[in-house]
Amino acid sequence: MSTHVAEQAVPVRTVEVRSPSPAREAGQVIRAVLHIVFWSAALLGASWKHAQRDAAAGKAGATPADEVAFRDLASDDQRIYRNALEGLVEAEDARSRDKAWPTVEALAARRIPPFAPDPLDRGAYAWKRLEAGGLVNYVGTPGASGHPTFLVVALEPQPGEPADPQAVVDETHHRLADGTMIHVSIWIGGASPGAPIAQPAYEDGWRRVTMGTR
Amino acid sequence: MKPLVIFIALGIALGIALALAACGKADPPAPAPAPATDAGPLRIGVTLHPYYAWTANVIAGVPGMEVTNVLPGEVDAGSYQPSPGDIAKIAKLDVLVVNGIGHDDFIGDMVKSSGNTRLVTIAVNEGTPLLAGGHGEAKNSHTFISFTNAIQQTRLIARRLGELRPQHADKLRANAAAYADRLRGLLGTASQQLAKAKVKKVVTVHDGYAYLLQELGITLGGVVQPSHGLIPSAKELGEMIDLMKKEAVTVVLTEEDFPDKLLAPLREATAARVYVIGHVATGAYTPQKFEVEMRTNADTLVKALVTDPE
Repeated sequence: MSTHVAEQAVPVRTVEVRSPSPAREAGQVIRAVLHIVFWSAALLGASWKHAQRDAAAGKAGATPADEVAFRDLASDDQRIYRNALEGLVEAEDARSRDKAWPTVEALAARRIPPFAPDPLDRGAYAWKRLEAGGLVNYVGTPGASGHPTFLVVALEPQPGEPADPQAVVDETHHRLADGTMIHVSIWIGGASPGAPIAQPAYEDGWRRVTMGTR
Repeated sequence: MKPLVIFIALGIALGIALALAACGKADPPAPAPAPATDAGPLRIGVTLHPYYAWTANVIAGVPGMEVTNVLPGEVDAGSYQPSPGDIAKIAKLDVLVVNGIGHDDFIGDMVKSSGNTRLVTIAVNEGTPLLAGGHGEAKNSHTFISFTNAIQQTRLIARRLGELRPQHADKLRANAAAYADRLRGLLGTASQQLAKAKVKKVVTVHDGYAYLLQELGITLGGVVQPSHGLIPSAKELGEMIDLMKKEAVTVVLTEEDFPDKLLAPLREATAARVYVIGHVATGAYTPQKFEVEMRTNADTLVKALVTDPE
């Protein structure tokens, strides 16, 4: 009985909910789509501008004048470069163990390229080691015409120079087994030096080979 | 307009916008792995057969290290479909050795699905110079069909495992050096024989042999497959025949599974001889597999370019 009274006390209110007109609803959809497209275009535009700026600064894509990308080398030169990388890793291993950079003869005796005799070497390269303090060069001079000189550079830190704990191993920074971080690079194109050089000069024809494909 | 239609329209627009926004953006770098603890056994997984062989040789005789394959042996990575059982294997690993440049792209999602957040990844190509693909693609991911790359990548695996278990670093390095010496022996023997090659240019069906051919002083005249795993069209086969005639190429290197009916026109039109070069891509995972199959590949090249033309 009391329930009946309560129902009578609250009047029922009827509200008619109308859907928007088809035109208004379509307008709302179009507005939403335009928002999405506009902001996406803004994002793309910003990304494109950033990429252009990087390219202009030589950060991406373009190779600086004093560098040459591995992919742009002739196949024979790519082969020597790959061998030189292998030789460098083995030389670093020997340096870690023996506390001295190995001679070309010692590396060749272990059949390590590019120092060991190579029956497929079209450039007829002769290799020598140049060393001064913590700087070592392995120089490959071609005996056949039409082939470039190769220069492998490894530079140890100065005695007492504090190690950078943030240093990362990459193409130009290698870590020896004792933790010493060294600078390494492989160069192509200059004349065979008579004394070790740490930073071969562009003006002398040297170009640093970069892996540069990722 | 029905609400469903509105929902679908917004969904499509959002999808297009996201796709546009994603275009042109480089893949973000993989996050730095969390270092594994310096205790307990180290369970190492690999995605490809060569990585199993290299890792097994590096850790031989080193206590507390074991290597296992993630993919079944009979499946080529190129046609692999991840399975729940394989994802479960990843969940138990400490280290994963991967190609990372296109040959095992499925692995990222598998690692995510495994929920293994402490996994250390060794991307063996991080210090390897990459050749272009057979049709000018930016990179050729078949770096593992190569003696030179195998030596350098084995060294990398030893170095990275040594960082995780410094007490075994010397042994790992010595093992890698011994394995590298054996591979250099194989490469040296093949080089001596191939120095006498009468044929120095070949055509390949597959673009995976570029690294091996380069280190053996062999010129790659062309690649038959338009892209990795794709069957060439009649037009593309015709172009390859023209190229072989023009450059007098008489040797074709093919893979095990390439259809013979597609090779027949090359053979008939050019009188080329066809030889199979293996990928080290299927079969049982063993420590010896890479050396055994690469020795066979080297012997095949000597036969194709030195012995048979005599």
